[in-house]
Amino acid sequence: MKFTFDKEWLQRHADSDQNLEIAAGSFSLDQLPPAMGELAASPQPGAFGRLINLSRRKRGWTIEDLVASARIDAGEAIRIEHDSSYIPGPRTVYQLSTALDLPRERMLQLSGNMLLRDRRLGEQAVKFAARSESVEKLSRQEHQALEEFVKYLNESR
Amino acid sequence: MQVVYVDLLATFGYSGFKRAGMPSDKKTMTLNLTEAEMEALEKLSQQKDLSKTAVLRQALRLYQLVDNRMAQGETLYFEDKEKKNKSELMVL
Amino acid sequence: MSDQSVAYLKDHIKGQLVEAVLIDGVSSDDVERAEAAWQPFLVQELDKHRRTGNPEIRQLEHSHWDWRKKHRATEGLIAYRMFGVECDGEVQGLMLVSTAGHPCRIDDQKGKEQVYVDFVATAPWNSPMLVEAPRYGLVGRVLIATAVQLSLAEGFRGRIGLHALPQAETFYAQKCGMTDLGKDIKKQGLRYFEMTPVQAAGFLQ
Repeated sequence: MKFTFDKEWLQRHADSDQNLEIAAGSFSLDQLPPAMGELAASPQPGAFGRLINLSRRKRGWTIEDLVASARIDAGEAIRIEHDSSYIPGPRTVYQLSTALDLPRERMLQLSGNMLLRDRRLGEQAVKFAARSESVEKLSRQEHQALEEFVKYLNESR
Repeated sequence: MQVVYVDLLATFGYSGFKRAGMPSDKKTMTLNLTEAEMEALEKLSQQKDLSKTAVLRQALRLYQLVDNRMAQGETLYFEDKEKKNKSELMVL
Repeated sequence: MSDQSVAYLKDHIKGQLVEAVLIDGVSSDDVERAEAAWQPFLVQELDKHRRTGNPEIRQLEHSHWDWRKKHRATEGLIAYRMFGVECDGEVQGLMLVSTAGHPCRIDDQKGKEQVYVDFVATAPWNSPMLVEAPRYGLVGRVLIATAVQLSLAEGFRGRIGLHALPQAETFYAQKCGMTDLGKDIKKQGLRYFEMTPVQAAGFLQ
């Protein structure tokens, strides 16, 4: 189909439309963060970073591999794994979820980007954090803890 | 029995016709409708403030959308907002 | 197969209108090209905003979609149409609309058909929230005018509807003259806007 656009009409509105956003549709991730500019508390500080760390190591990936696969900033990847108070942005969480094949919405809750909607998630996150420790290779215990937590995250997906 | 002539080009819209990979010349199709079907078409045409051709076009679009979702294993439900219950629509 | 029409965008660097192309029926190649250019730019700018502690960062991060997925999901479905605006060899804006399944809500036109804008966006380098000096203007106006013209061609008398992202509410309320029907809790709390035939005529004048 052919469309017509009057140049004069566009010229008339060019200045007044300036500096106005036009996006319409939906928020690009499934859910909003709790409030613009505010940060929600993670149900278990450190659980998100621990999950990323173990999931990465389970794949035999270095941080560089994770950065390349998830297309995120290297500095942020390091901060996620080592700074339990750091809350990554929703896009980073989205990218990590995709790269590590983890459920996006629960990852957004776990990271503190969304209010906790699933009370059991908090309990499971605490349990997971308590069972996993920082070692080079995944210990059997860490492996089991990771498997169980990921299994839970994927339930009712 | 009433007969409705449908201009396929007008029904699909020019670019839609092109997307189907078909030539852009017009084609005409004959639709034989019962009295009840014609009555339904006329009623919808009035309610929706659309030509009968446009109503048929919308019907085809919706049918394809619904069929596409159902082919993926989904079910079509209607929701009663007040009673807050859902009921399944049996489609074909 | 796609159709092309002549359009115009405001080139903010040259300070004048420049010729652009409105593509009716964006191809997967077009979308791929758009994302290949938009994504890296967006990531780079979002990172800058994050480092400066810009409080609007979350809003920005929620405002980008994967147009490849949208193209794949709607290709072949006749209810959907995808449009693009191209200028200077780059895709400057994209829009996906539905021509069925979204009846009007304003009382005077309740239940009537309209063109519903599922998604519309300008390229990140044109976004005033993202960059200090947006490159091209009028992308939104051209695409909304496209939606209105499509609505007229379909016999819907210019009626269109959409859910605006928060940062775009002013554009739809004031510049497009659409009716604000308030927050839609079924759509992430986004405000729903609808255009009547009278408003459509006013918009195109």
